[in-house]
Amino acid sequence: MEEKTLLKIALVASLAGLMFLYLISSNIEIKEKNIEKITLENKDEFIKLRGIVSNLVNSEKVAILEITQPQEITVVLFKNKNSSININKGNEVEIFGKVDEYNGKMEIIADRVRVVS
Amino acid sequence: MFLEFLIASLLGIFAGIFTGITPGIHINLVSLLVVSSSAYLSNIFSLPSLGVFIISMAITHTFLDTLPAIFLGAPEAETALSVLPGHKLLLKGMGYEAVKLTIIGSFFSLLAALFLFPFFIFIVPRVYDKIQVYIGYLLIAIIAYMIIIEKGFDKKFWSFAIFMLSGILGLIVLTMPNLGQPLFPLLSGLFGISMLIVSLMQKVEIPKQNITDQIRIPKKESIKAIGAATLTGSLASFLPGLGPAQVAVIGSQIVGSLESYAFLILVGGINTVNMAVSLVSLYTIEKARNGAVLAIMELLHSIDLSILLLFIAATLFAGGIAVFLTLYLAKIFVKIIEKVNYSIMCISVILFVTIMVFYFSSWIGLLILIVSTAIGIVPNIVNVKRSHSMGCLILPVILFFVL
Repeated sequence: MEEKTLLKIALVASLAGLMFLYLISSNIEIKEKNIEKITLENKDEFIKLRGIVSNLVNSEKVAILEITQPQEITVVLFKNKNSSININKGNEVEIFGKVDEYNGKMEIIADRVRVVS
Repeated sequence: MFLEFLIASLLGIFAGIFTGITPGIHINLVSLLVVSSSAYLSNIFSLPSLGVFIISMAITHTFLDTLPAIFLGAPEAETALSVLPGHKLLLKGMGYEAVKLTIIGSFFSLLAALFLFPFFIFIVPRVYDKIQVYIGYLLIAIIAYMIIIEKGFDKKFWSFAIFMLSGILGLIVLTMPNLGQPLFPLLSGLFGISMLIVSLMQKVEIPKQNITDQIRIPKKESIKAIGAATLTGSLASFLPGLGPAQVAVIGSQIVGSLESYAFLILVGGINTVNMAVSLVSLYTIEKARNGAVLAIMELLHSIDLSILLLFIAATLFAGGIAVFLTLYLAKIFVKIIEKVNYSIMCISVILFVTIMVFYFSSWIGLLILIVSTAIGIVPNIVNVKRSHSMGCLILPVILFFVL
């Protein structure tokens, strides 16, 4: 195959990829969950939620956050993965994690927490 | 969001250039860095953007990793089998064309695989459990066939001996606890340094390299190689234990004897298809079959259809760009290889690889490098195919499935 032909096809492919990327990007929606809608049915589901840190208990290995939306949910954050994050009371945070149940109450085992403001 | 994805993809392509042309630096290393610093990175990029970064890097890497394999004789598992035919062309002054053949394989197999994505999405969850029972026996049959077709008892014996020696070495190395980057010393010795030492001993000189369009492969051969790459590369992307290196051996036997030109298309294609179709495995059966997809899985856990489409777009974009990049960088490699003394270059590469092996795998890595180099020289002395040394990866897989 001639190099020019190869390059022409590659150019068309990369432009198609770029256009496709543009079209898809407007449809990418990371589903956020409301605390009130988290039920036992969502157990083990990976979700994202946003809220304000209303209480924070910090220990060496784990941080337990109370997140208010205004409904409240407990978020457990193991620090080995997220030790570089500084979270304070009053911060607005975005949480990615798995839904779990503890003593009959729903909670989130956080995979990562991002401080939004 | 578009701008963020575009920046992530371009950064990924840039990272792919770095990992692709640097021997010993694998995408798994960068993917691991992305995952371990995701808590920080997620303040800048969304998680799907980090996925776009990883997939763009991985696709670019699969195009560019043939450069060190062909010009420097420093392969990775995915490119190990391209070293010999690539080097043969390099010694004929056609190193650039060898690279071009792998690009043709990578690019057109990628297009074929993307076209077949709906089929893969349908078929992968249905055949996943059924087919893996037979992998071990299929590999035994192929290895037996590869040995039988060697001419004469001596060659058959040496082929078997090389397969077993490298296989046992592979078993030892891959089950060794706490060994960083086990494949690097193993494959560098079997396929890279052994070939460079042979070249040094034979006082090989690299002729003037021509940047030409001379090689003409019959369309039928090219289609056969691209078809085999798409089929076997996709098998490697969802079946456990099988990687691009193992399926290259299967692919070359399935399609019959391919001449070295078409073989380069096959090897280039398998590598890229494996990376692209492994996204289907993540989407349909939620399994990661390589380090890059494992990193994406760590970040996103599972992917839905919109994220899969996003990754397909990034794959297509990165694949197209990678064609230009690889051809451009191959021209630079050609200029460099013409200017430097080949013996000095061989010694420099051997030293560089040795230092990298020591850095990643310490003294035990050096020991593996020495043993694997010794085994890697044998095919050249007894004049049998170097692909028998792939026993280092195939024997462990056979035992995994059969025992």
